[in-house]
Amino acid sequence: MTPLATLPRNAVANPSVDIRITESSFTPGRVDVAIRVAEGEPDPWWAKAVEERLEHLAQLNNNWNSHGARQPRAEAILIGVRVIAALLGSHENWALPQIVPTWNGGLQLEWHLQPGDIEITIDPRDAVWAYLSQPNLMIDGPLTELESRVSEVLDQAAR
Amino acid sequence: MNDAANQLRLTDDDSVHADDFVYRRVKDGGNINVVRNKDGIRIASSAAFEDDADGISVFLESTLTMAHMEPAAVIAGFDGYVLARVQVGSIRDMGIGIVRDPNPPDAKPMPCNVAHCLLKLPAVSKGAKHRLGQRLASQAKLIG
Repeated sequence: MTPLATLPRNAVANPSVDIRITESSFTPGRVDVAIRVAEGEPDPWWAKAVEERLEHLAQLNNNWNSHGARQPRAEAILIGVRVIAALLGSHENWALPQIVPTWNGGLQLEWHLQPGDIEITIDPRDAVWAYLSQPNLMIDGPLTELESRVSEVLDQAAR
Repeated sequence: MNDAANQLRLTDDDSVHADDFVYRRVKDGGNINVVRNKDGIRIASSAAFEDDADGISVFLESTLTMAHMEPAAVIAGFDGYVLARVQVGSIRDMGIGIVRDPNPPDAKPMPCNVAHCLLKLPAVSKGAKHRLGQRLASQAKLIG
């Protein structure tokens, strides 16, 4: 297998999580996405579902939306996993994001929940940006600044 | 027509009536750009309404009708796509213009291209554009 991109274990918020994106040695052109954990540690609760979704999106070709979109970049997939690991951690009752590709080869994580809507845009050339929409509140900014508010909404939705 | 009027016409063509509708081709197969809202209803993601350098590609219902085409002509031959339908008046209420752009040279040749239009977003920040994409997605009705 040829690694297309890897994220060093120490660069992930959860230090026990690693990800490897490779070109399949079985099916030319197919991209495999594998979320891995340190030996002896259990897989994160979200790993299987996220891995399957990202692997599905990784197969998209350029112009997948018929409007000239780029295929998802490996870096965006890596950052997406990093963000999910940081946000969801061990909160097994929190909702998984809906993950969609964006026009420029990035990803968008979406939660549409009772307390509000969260969208996080991941563009490898830009800061990870969060958009929070609640009945009396619409804010956006770098995820690094809004992480606690995003976590609050995910926590409220799980109660 | 003076320059100012020409400029206005470039970013919003008032020959496109507010009660008309536009259709946006949205990739669905495997829920690529389709998500579920908090009630579990399938909706277009805001990611389906990102603009490129030219604007957001859509197709005008009245022109399709005049050319004896159904809206489904917009996704004919496109496997795994649905249509997002939005009224022109609600688009203008967001500060977004619409211009006719028939038969764009870089598009796959299709009969529906006669109805091709571009939504022109105002020059605003990346965040404000994303919010407009969210509003377009929330107004859109998925068909197909």
